[in-house]
Amino acid sequence: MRLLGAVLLSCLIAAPAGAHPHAWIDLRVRVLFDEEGRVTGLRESWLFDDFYTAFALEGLGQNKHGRPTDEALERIGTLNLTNLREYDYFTEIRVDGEIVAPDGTSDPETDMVGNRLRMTFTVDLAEPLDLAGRVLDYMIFDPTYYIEMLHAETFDAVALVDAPAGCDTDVVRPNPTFEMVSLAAAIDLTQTGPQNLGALFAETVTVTCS
Amino acid sequence: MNEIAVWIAMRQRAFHDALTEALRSLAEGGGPAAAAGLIVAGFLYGVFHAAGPGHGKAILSTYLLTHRQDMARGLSLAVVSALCQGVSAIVIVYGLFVVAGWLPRDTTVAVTWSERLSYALVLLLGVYLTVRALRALYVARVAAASSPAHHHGDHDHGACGHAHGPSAEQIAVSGSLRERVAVVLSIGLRPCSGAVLVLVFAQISGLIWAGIASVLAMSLGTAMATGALAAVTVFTRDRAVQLAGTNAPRLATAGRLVTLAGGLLIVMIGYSLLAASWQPAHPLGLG
Repeated sequence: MRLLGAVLLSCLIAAPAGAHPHAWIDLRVRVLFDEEGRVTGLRESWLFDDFYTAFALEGLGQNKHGRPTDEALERIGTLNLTNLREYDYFTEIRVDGEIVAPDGTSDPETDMVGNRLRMTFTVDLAEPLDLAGRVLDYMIFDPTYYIEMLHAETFDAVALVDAPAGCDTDVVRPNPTFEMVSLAAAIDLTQTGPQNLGALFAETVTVTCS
Repeated sequence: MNEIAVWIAMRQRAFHDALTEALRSLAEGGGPAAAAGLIVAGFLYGVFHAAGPGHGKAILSTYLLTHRQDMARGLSLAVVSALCQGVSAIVIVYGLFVVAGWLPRDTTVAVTWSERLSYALVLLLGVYLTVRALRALYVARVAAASSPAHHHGDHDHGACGHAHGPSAEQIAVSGSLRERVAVVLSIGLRPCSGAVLVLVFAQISGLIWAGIASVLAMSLGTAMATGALAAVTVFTRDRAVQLAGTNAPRLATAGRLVTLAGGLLIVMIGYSLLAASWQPAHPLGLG
């Protein structure tokens, strides 16, 4: 009886991971610094999976080789960034734990890598951030966890550009606890609630300068 | 258990990648090997995808826990619901593409509406089950009240000669065909978004039949996983009833109350799903 209960419970608890996600994005991020050694923004590259790519681009225009046209790519890139604005581009930046809302994006590019769509854009901060004695961290995630967004499994998935000496980054893998996973299961089941399912499965990247 | 959740999440992406790979190699002339790979990948994706909950499992397990069904019926409900999900994905996606000439992105609208229909059915099913449970409680009460000579307690029930309203065993009969069809449709009208994505991808690659085969294999995988859940649920319920002992009248009342609770729970699930389906669309244009 107790064993059966445990089996049943584990079925329900394994839930959120099983139910979601449905699409995947590989991330590459460049943390940008200005001449004074302050962070000005994140240059993000989102590499979508094949299905999403096909889904998003079908019917938008192809050249004679069956590849999407430049106009099609630009259209989908602009559309996505416009829609993502309300969600702060799925990018949650914190300084010493306080959220810093992004100011907007710049230099968007959309291209294809093989069969996969890639969007690259800079998430700009309203004011440059001096990291002396402060910790910056960011998470990039889809709050609904419909899309799983993780840094690409390459050595340079996160890099600092023009950073002063002594700055370093660390990628902290998600480690949802039993309670978090249970919570996620409950949220997923009813699809209401705080809408932060994705945060439980997101990586946190910290940037520190000593 | 935490490791299990994480492990399943990781496997899911692996199967998803395998599906993509198989479809592409089929599109590039991979032949029967690629086709077999596609079907296997679809099947495994279905199994692992269904290892999580989703609304179907919530409804099915609530229904089976609170409404007595034998093992065969419990299993067939799970299997038919899963297959219905696959078929509805195929009908919606290809119906709209091929017949109505829609674009893949637009199908999300249709998927959303079929979801709402499915959730509305969940709500109706819950209301129906609740009303029926209330009526059974009422009938039992009237029956008890109209025979004041009966004191439930120390006299011999075997001598009563008539039934005190439906007994726990008779409640077993409650699942009418109409009710089971409602369960199946309330689960199965909502296509799995994984299946929709596979179908869209297959259609774009010009492999409609491969897409259909793969989604059917996926449904079969889902059916196995939900079938296992159904079996566990039915078994758990039966054991609980056994352990509850043999006090028939009390058990009958308890059984009706459980049935009522199940109906109310399904109402709540249906309501919250329906309410949530009006959430703003996903910013990246997915379902």
